[in-house]
Amino acid sequence: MPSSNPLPTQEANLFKKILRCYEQKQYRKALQHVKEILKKFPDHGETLSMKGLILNYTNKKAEAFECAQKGLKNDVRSHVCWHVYGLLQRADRKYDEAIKCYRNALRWDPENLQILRDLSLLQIQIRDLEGYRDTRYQLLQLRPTQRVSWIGYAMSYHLLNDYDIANHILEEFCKTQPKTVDFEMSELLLYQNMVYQEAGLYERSLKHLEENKKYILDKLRLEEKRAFAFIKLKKLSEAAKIYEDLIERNPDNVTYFKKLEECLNLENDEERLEFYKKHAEKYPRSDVPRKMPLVFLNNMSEFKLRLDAYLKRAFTKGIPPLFKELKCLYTNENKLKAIEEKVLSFEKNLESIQKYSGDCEQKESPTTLLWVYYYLAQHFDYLKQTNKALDYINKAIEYTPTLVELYMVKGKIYKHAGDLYEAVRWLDEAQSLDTADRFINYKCSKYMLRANMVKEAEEIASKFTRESSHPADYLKEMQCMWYETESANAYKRMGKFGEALKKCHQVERHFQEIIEDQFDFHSYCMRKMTLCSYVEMLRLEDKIKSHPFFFRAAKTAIEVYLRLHDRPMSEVENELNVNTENLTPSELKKLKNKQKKQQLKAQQEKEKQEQLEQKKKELSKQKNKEDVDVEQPTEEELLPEKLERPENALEECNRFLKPLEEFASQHLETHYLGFEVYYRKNRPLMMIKALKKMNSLERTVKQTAKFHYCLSKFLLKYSQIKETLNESVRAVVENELKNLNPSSESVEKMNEKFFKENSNTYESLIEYAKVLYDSNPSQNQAKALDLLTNVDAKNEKLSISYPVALEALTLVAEAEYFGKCDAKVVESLRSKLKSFYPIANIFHTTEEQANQLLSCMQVLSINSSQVSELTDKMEILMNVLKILVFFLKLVKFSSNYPIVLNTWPFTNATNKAWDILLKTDDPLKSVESGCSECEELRCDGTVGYGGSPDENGETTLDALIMDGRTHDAGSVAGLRRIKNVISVARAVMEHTKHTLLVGDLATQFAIDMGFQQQDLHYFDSLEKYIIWLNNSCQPNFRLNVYPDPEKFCGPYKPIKNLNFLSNKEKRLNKYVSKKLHDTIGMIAINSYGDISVGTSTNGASHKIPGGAYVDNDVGAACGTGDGDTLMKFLPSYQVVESMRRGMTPSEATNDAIQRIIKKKPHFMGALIAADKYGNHGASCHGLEYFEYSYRTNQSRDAEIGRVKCI
Amino acid sequence: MDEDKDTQAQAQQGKHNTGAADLEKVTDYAEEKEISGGNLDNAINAITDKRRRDAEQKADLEKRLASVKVKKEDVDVVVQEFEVPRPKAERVLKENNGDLQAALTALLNA
Repeated sequence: MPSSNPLPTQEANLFKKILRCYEQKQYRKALQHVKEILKKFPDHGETLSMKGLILNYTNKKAEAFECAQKGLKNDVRSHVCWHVYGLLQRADRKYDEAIKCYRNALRWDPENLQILRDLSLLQIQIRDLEGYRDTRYQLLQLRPTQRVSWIGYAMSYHLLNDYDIANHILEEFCKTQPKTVDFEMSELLLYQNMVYQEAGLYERSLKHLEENKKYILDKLRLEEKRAFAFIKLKKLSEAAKIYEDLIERNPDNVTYFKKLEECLNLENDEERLEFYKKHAEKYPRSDVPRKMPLVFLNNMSEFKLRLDAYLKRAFTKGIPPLFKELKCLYTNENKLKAIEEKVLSFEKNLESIQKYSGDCEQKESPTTLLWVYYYLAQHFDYLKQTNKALDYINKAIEYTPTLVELYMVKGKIYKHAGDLYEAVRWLDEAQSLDTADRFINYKCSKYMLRANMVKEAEEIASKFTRESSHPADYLKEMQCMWYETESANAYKRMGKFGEALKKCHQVERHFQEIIEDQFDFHSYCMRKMTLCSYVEMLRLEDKIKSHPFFFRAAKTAIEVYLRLHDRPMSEVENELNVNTENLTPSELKKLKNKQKKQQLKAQQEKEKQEQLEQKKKELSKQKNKEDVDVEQPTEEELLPEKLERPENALEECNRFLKPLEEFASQHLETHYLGFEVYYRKNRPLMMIKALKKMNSLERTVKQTAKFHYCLSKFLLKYSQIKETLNESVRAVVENELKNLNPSSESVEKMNEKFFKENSNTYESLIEYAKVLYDSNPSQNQAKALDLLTNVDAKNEKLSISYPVALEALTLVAEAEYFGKCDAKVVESLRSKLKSFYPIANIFHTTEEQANQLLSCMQVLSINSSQVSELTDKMEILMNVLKILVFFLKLVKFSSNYPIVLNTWPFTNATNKAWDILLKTDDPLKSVESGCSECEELRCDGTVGYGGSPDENGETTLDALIMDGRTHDAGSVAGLRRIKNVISVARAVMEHTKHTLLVGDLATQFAIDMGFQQQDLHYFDSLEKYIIWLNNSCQPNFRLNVYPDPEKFCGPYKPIKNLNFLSNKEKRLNKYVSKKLHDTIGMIAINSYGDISVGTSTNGASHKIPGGAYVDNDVGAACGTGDGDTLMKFLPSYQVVESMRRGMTPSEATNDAIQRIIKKKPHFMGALIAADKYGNHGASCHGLEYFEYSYRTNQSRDAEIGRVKCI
Repeated sequence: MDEDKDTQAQAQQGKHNTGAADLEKVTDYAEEKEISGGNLDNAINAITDKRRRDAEQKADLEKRLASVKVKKEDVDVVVQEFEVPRPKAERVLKENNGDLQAALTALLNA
C-alpha cells in the first residue's frame, strides 16, 4: 500500500488491525488502536481518516467529517483518505460527490478492488448503468476468479438490455463451472433462463431448462417458465399439460385457468363452460371454475343456472366478501337484474320457509338469511338506493347484532350518501365490538379522517401504536402512508395547508427512503445469488413512484401548492378582516368573538406544538444515541408554517409533479395537474405537451370534460401571449393545434358545441360553466352560476355523482372560481345539491353540520362523556387479564414480572421483599418490608439505626416511598429516635397531605402514628463517632468555613470571598468512598405490572438520601450514593422519563449518569431502574463496578446483577 | 459484564423481531468466494472483442454530435420552455442538427 508518509512497522501493524476491526464492526476496539497511533503520529492522514470513518458509524457525524477532512488534508495522495471521504459522502447520500472521491482514490491506486466495488455499488444505485458496466469490466479483469465478477458484468449488460452479450458472458462462465445441486447453482440457472426469455430465445430457454432440470430446485418456477416458453413457441398441447399439473398444485390460481383456456383454444361459450364444469367437478373446493363462467356467459338462462348454484353455495357457507367477488358482473345490466331477482327471491323464501325455494329439500341454517340481507344491503348501496340499503343492513343487525362486518357496511352506506359523521359513528361501533382487530381500527380511523376528525382518528389509531411515542411519529416511522395521505386531505379541507403539505412531504420522503434502502442489497443479493429477485427489485425500485400511494399524496400536494399560488397564506388571513363590511353589528360581534377564540386556540395549539417539537428534538437526539449505525443523514424538519408560505409554490410542485409525469403518465389526472401548473407558469409548450398526453388517453365523461376545459383555457391564454412568443415556439404550437383543435373554432363556439353534446352530465356542465366564465368573466358570471344552480332533481337523464356535486360546491363557495358571489347564490346551490344527496352533511347549513358533528362526537367510544363506560370496559378487560396472568403463572410462563430489585447486593432485603410480594401481590408492601429488613439488619451499616452518625454523633434516618398506582409519595428526612423509617415514610404518604416531613416534627408525627421511640445508637455508631472525633472530625461536609474544616473540629464560622467552585470540587473528592454513604433503593413490580419504589438510609456519614421515582405507565428508578449530588439532578425522574421515550432501563440510567458527570465529574453513585415490563438495568460512576440484587420467578434466590461503571 | 447485559437485552427484543437479525447481516462485510475454473481467460477474451466494437460505435456518434454547432439563444429557449438542464438542452439541439423547432418538437413528443 503506497502512502506518502508510511508508518513504522509497529504502527503499520496497528493500522492493519484497525482495518480488520472496522470490517468486523468492532468500532470501539478500532478507536483504541487509532488512539495509540495518533499518540505518536498525531498528523497521520490515513489514521485520521479511519478515525473519521469509525466515528461516522458510531454516529458522531460532525466530528467524523472533521477528522476525515483533516486526514485528507494531511495526505491528499492517499487512496485511503479519498476512499474514506467518499464513504462519508455516500453515507450522507451525496452520491455524485462520493463518486468523485472514489475516482480520486482510484487515481492513486487504480486497481484497488474495494474502491472499485464501492464505486460499482454507487453506480448501480444511481442507475449509471454504463458506468456500472465499465467498473464491472475492470473488476472482472482484476479478479476473474470470483463468481461475482462474472455475474455482475453479465448483469450490467442485462440491465442495459444487451441480451446477446449478457448471455454470452453467462454461457462462457457456466462452461467453466462444474454443476452442483445447491441453491446457488439453481438461482444462477434460473437467472440465466430469465435472460434467455427476456431476449426472446424461447427454444434455447426450453433446452436450457430441460438440460438443467435436476439442478433447478424451485420446481414451480421451473414449470411456469417452461409453460410460458411453450406458449410463446405455439406448442400449446405441451403447455396445456403443464398448466393442468400446475392447476392440480393450486386449483385457486386464476392465471393458470386462463392460460390453460388459451392453450386449449376453446372457441365458444359452450366449450368454455364444459371446460369449467369438468374442473369444478375435479376440484370441488375451488372457487375459480365456478366463478369464471359467470363472467363470460352471455346466454342468460345458462347464466342464471350457474348463478343460482354459485350464490347458494356462498350464502350457505357464509362468505363475507361475496359482493366484492360479484361486483365485476354489475357492469352488465342484465346480469345485475338477474342477480337482484335471484337474491330477492332467496330472501322471500328464506323468511317464509327457511329454504332457498319451494323445491329445495334441505332447510337452511338461520345464518343464511343473514348473509342474504348483508348482500342485499351492499347491492342497493351500489345502486345508490340508500334507504333500501339501510333497511337491509338494519334488518341484518337486528338479526345478529354482534357481527362486526354489518356495522362496517352500515358506515359505508352512510359514507356513500355523504353523511360522514354517521359513517364514523357506525365504524366506531364496529371498532368497539372488536378492539383487537387492526383492520377495523384502521377503517375507523380512516373514516374519521374523511370527516376531518383528525384528533379522534389519531386517538383511535393510537390503540395500535407504541405507547412510548406519539402516534403520528410512530405511524411516520412505520411509513404508514394511507394515514398520512388521508390526514393531508383532511388538513387540506380544513384549510390547514401547512399541515397538509407536511404530510405529503412525509410520504414523498418515505418513497425516497425506500429507494435509499436498496443500497445494501446490491452487494448482498450478489453474494447470496438471489439474482432473479434482485433484478426484479431493481425494476420495482425504478418505478416505485408509480405506486398509487405516491400518486395520491402528490395530487394533494400539487393541489395545495396551486391553491397557495393563487391565494397565498397571508392574504387568506387578511380576508377574515376585510369581509366584515357588509355585516350587521351582531354578526360582527359574533365574528369577532369567533376570531378571538380562533386566535386563542391557534396560540394554544402553537404552544402545544412547540412543546411537542421540543420533545421530538430530545427524542431524536436520544434516538441518535441509541442506534449506533444509523447512516441516515439528518433531514430538514418539516415546519407547517414554513411549508404553507413557499417562496415559489409552482417550483415546489416539481418534486411531486415530475415523478408523476414520469411514472403515472397513464393517469389523465397527472396531465391535468401538470396543465394547471404550466398554465400558471406561462409555458405554452409544456401545456401543449400535457394536452397531447390527455388527448392520447382513453377518457371517461369527466375526463373528456376536463380535456375540453384545458384546451379552452389554453386557447384563451394563447391568444393573449401569442405575440410575445419566440418564433419557433409559436410555429410548434400552431402545428400541434392542428391536431388538438382541427376545426380551429373560437373558444365560445367550441364551448357551445361541447354543451350541446354533453348537457346531460353535471361534470360537463361544470366545465362548460367554467369556460363560459373565463371567456368573459364580467358578463357571464350570473349565467354560469345559474347553470349550476338550476338543475332539476327530477330530470332522470341528469346524473350527479356525489364527488362531482361536492366539486361544484367547493368551486363556487371556497375556491371562488366564479369570483365573489352573493351568499344567497351559494345557499341556493347548496340546497339544490341537497335535493340530490339529502343526508350528505356538506349540503346542510353550517349550523346543521355542527349539530351533526356534535351528536356524532357524543356517541363515540373515545369521547370523554363516555369515559366511565370506557373504564368499565377496561375493568372487565383487566379482570380477564388477571385471570390470564394467573394461568400463565401456572404454566411457568417466562414473564419478566413480578420482580423485586434493589441497589447493592443486599440479598436479604430482596428475598424478604420477594416473599411479601408473592404473598400479597402488593408492591408497596413489598418495598416497605424489603427496606425495613435492611433497616433491621443495618445493611452495610449505612441503612437503619446505629449507622452513620451525624456531626453530633446521632444517627438520623431518611426514607422515601412512592406508589406507582396512585402516584402518591411520602418521605421523611432527619428522623430521630424512630427505627422504622420507611414505614414512617409510608405513613406520611397515607396519613398526611404532605410528601416530606423532617426532623423533630417528623419524629412527633411518627409517635402520633404509633411508632416506638428508641435510641438509635449502636455500638458501631458510637465507635464511629469517637474515631471521627479523634480524627479531627475528618471527613466532614463543611466548606468555606474557619477553622479549616479539613484539619479541625468545629464550631465553624463562614469565610467569604473564597474561590467557591474549585474548593467545593476539591472537598467533594475527599469523602468519595462506598462505605460512607449507601442507600437501599428498591423497586417492586407485582403480577399486574403495578410498580412501587422506596429508599431508606441513614444518609452519608456525617449526610441526605438518594431519590426515587415511579410512573406506573413507564417504570421506576432509584438511586444510591452521593445524595447531595443526586438531589441536584433528579436522576430518577430523568430515568423514568427517558424510558417513557423508549430507552431501555440500562440506556436510561446510563444517560442520567452521563448528565450528572458532565457537570460533576467526581460524582460517586449508582442508579437502578426497571421498566413496566420488568426489564431492569443499572449504571454507576465513581466506583469500579456496582452490584444490585434482584429476584424474579425464574430464580429461587436473589441474584446479583453487576455493571461496570462508566 | 455491561456488554453481556446489552446482548441479553438485544436477544430479548429479538424474540419478536426475527427479521431484524437477518437485516443486520445485510450490511456485514464479507470477502467474496474464490472460484476455480480452467478457461476463464478464454472466456474473457471472447467478450472483450465485442466490447471494443461497441465502444467504437459510441465514439463515432459522440464525434458527430460534437461537430454540430448550436446557438446560445436557442439553448436558452429550450431551457426556458421545457425546464431542462442546459447540457440536456444542448444535446437535444445537437441531435436535431441545431434546428430549434425540430428540437422543441422532439421534446414535446418525448
